Amino acid sequence: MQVYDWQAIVKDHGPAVWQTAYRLLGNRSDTADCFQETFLGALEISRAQSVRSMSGLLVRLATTRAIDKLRQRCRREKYQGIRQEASLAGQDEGDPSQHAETEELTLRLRVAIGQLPAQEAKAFCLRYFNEMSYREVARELEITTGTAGVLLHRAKTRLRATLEDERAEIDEVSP
Amino acid sequence: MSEERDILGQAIDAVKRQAADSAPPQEVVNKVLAQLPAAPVPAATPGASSIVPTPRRLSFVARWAAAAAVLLLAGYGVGRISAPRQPDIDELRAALLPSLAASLEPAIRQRVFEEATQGYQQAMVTGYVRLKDEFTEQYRADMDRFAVQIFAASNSVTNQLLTQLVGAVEKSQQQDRQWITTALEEIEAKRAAEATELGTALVRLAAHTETQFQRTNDIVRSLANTKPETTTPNTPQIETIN
Repeated sequence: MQVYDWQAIVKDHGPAVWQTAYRLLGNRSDTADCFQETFLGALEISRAQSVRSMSGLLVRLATTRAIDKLRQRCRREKYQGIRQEASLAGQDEGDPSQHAETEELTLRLRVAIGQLPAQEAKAFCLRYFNEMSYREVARELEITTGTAGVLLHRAKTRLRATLEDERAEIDEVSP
Repeated sequence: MSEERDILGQAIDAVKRQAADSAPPQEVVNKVLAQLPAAPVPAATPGASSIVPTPRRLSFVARWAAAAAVLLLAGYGVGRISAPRQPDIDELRAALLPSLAASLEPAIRQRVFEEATQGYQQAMVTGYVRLKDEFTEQYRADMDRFAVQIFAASNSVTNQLLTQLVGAVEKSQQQDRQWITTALEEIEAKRAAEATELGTALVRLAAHTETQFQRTNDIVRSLANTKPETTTPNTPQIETIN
């Protein structure tokens, strides 16, 4: 009989869950909420059904919760609110202009992910942030590999278009 | 196209770099650990459908545990019957005990924990209800006793006041009667005095009347004996009565 030691699970998978949420949210407060909701959700799921891969479940739950929070934040605060929260992270880098450019880029990517359809956003994050294969993405989202490929293609196309448009607007504004 | 891919790739790399050094704060980990089970929890069976433990689920686990025990005992019995020689009981028990304990202990522990929790909750609820009933009964009894005492005290005070009122009324009536008797006695005395005075006055009047009558009689007699010197023709002659 399989036994779950949640103290060990938090210790082993906590950093991965934290980084998964922090990549998408970019601030500690929302990441802490997402971290807590992820493990509590995993506890409920493990009580209801058998878990094939605890690490996969935790990453999927963290990605889902983080995307939900990101979408809620996008709707609530628009672009300006996210900019203010996210700009507080990573201030100890060397070049201020490089730091500002990196901050701008990450913020624009997060906003663009928050505006994607939920399933496309999940597939994109699992594939490119958590470095899962197409098959693993399909298994975690309970879809076929072909559908996962279609979702990833659409997500990349939308994100590229969004980033390109925003870069063009910035280039037009700046001298 | 390569520039677009670079933009997206740069953004992904930047996000990854930004989160690479981040780790969960210890207070967040502690908060999560406080909400998760401290002891290892057995995984759910594939057929389980309810997240919250229910009596049905517990009975399901108990049935599986009983079935496993029955199967083990049946296997043990069959092996013993079919064995060419008597097996070593201690060896068999030692071989079976770890597997039995490993398979049954988590479920039994979980069930005992659930039953103990349920029992404590029921006992707390029952104790609360019983305590509430006892307090209610005690409160009612105290209120009844206080009401009886207050009623008795008010009765005695009322009786005392009524007694005082009756005494005052009787005293007032007695005083009134004394005043009436005194007034009647005074009226009677005055009436007697007036009657006596009236009798005396009547006697005096009678005596005075007799004296006057006697004097009148004497005057008439003296007049009758007296003869005038000249008589007028028209003057009637007075005759003596005798």
